[in-house]
Amino acid sequence: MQGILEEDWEEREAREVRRSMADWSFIEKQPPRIREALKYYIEKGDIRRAARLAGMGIEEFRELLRKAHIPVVL
Amino acid sequence: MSHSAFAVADTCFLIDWARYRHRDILFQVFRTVFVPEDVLNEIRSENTVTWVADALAHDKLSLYTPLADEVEEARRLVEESRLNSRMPAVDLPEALCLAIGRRRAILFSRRIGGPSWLRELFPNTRRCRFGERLKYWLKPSAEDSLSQTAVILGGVLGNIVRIRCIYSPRSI
Repeated sequence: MQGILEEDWEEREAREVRRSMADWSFIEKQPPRIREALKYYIEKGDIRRAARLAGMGIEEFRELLRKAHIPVVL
Repeated sequence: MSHSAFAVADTCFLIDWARYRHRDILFQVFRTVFVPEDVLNEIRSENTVTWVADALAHDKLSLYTPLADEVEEARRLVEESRLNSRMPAVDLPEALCLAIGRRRAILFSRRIGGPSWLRELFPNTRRCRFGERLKYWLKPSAEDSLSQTAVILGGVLGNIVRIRCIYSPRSI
């Protein structure tokens, strides 16, 4: 709980943007590993770890984010 | 227009920036952009590899071999990111960029924005908006195109929302 309270508001905002803009119908149609990697990225914004979860390279996963309409929030 | 000195680029920045049709504008701002070897190892697509190889050949990009103490600092950053709940987890390639950027260069990383943990990491840095940074360095006649550039970045680079800022470390 303390960790959640301490979370930077910008990180929370970024997560909300990713959640709201994502194409969830596309995400839910993906194979389990890809689907969970996309969901992980939406929650955490950690592309390296999400790509590893998906079993993909960073660039390949980046393409997937585009297809899923998941924005990169800087 | 005079070049700034150096910058260091993370993987995520390079793979997005390589898609931008005015990508070489980067080299009008910086004399050399360093690319750590670990970052280079993560680049795979033909488009990005071709651009990076060409830029390396023309000394616009330069391969960076980190010093032992920079690697050690990067490893400490990785560990700290796991212990600090306010800090997102970073892996070694990104941590290397942070360590190098903190010491000597301007850092381009997709993750760079305004979170408080970054302000703690870069206590002596100045925040500025990416588009404003480009405007500062390029010719006044290019300002109008840069205003568009900052906006275009959001679309052309592929669903990137709100380019926020980069950090300029205090020079040593």
